[in-house]
Amino acid sequence: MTPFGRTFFLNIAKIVTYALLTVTCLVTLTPFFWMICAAFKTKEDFFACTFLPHGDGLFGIAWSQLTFENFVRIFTELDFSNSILNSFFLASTTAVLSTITAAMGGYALAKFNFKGKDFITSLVFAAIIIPTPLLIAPSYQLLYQIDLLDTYWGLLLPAVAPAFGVFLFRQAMLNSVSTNLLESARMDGCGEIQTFFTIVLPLVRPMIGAYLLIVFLGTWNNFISPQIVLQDADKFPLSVAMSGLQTTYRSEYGMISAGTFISIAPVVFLFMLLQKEFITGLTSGAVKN
Amino acid sequence: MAGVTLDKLSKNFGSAKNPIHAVKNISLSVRDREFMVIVGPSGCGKTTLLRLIAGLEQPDVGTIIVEGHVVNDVLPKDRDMAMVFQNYALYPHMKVFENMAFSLKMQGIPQAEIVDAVEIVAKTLGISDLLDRKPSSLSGGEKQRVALGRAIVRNPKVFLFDEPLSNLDARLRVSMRTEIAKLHDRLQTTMIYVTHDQVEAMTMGERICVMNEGEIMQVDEPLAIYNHPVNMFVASFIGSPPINFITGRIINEEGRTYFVEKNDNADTTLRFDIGERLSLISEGRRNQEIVLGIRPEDIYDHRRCNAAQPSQSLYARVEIAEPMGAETNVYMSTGAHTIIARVTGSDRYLTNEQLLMRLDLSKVHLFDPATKLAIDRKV
Repeated sequence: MTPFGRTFFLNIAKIVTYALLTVTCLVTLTPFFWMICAAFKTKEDFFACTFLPHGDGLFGIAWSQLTFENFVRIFTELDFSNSILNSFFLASTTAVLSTITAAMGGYALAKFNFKGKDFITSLVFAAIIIPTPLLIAPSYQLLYQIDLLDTYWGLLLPAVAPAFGVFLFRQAMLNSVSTNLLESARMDGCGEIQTFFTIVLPLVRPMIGAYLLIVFLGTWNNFISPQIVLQDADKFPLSVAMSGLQTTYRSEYGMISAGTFISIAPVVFLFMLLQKEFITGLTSGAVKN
Repeated sequence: MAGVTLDKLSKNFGSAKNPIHAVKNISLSVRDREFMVIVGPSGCGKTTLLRLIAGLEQPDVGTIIVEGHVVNDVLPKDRDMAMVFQNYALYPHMKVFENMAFSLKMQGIPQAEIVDAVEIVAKTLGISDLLDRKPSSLSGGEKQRVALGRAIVRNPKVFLFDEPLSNLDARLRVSMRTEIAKLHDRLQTTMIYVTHDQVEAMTMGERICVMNEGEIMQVDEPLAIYNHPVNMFVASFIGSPPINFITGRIINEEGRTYFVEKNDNADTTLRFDIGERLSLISEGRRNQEIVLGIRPEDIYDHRRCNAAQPSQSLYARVEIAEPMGAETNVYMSTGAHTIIARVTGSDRYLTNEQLLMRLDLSKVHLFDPATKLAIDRKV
């Protein structure tokens, strides 16, 4: 094949690839676009049109029929602001506590030798493969017995030091933290806690960013645990509060869409902030330094 | 400044059922302000010994004494020692200045004093323009200087070096060797230097401690070790190219004493008069197996000798010659052994060429093949 022919086919291949990726992207984004449109539609327009209502305005859209009513009702009828604050509190507290404890656990398993270390490491690996739904009933029973139902501690305590987090940080520490560095810090006068915060944590920053994001997202979107543990509506996070909009006899689709739109905004922002650390953290073990 | 004494130190790794004896009952005394080099092959226990001194490992048996005080239970940070690691161990997220200042910051020293101390040391090592850079942007030599600077700024009683030059290229290694030696002259501090490179050991140490399999083989000045090795291991480890070992027997014949090479073939190709000195040394070992050791530079091409005495010469066949410029390493076969001669000059040596070589008998060593010990080093 001539060089010209090779270049021609490469360009065709590129065009086809980009076209496929664009279509896939559009398909993925379509539900989000639909949700954003639904958040600004009235009840009457909700089923009348798929996306935006047709009319005589720009691009054939009836812009005057779009409304902020769903957003207003979300905050006035549902105490949405309280739910947002609850979600923020739970997600951020869980993310921070979980990251610190998982990092400490992973550090101990990666860099210290002690009796029972192999056994504990095996326990961590075994805990990872247990499906979460299997733990719901025993967790509920335990929380009931120690009187932590309908409290935030009942949600925070089980989420602190998850096995998967300990595993992730163990791998990150094995790859990124050289034992010589720790010994150098000890000889320079660092105590163990100081070494952990001053030397170790900065070296696993990508994993910290990735894990914070994973836990924040997971807690923000978590419905089952708050639904089961919490009973007081004032304590409900967004996920549980919004489920109340969908009852047996009616569904406030507009408000659901508006609520969903508001709820994804913070996580999208956080992901944009931490995306570099997220990608680096998840791929840091792939290539040897 | 401080002397370091190790008294019957032992350290094992692994399980109690299958222990690995990394350090076996070692006693060693490093004088105040001395530059002691610990040298040995990989896995001989030299790094473990250094880590025991630093406090990064705990001995199973024995004591470590620094400046007259037992420091077994003293934490590494309180032993007033600084260590330079093989891979530099610079904190990658800190700039060079912060790396050098870190230990002083841990001691609570005021910032102004830290700045002064770091700048003085940086100027001495020629790294003042690197202070704002991070380790990832430095070359190997620059990282090594920063690691040195980080140790010096602490002003410790003892410096510990764990193969600090092994990651550098050959040329840089030579220049850094000189720098460290000059550093010792300037600071007059006790330094314990671990290496597997016998050239570093010979050129840098005031005394050398040769280790093998967790034990000390010999401790002495470099030339004393080179000229009077205590056993076959020390003789072969120190010196490049390595010493030649020829197994044979010593026999008396017609009033003279001969060394006869051990050769399973019918023809014995090596046989020569060993002279009075070696005859006296080997008295009581007639007709017993013995190992003769001779260094490559003590085997001469007879064409470059004033007079060849046939009784101290040997014929050998050239296998290969390595011209190095000012000298040539000639690998020769005696029939049963391959020996190396280091001859001066750049004469050409052809493969399979028969050569008449002369041995300098005053430099020959004799070893017991069973114990590997030198029979007598003092005659």
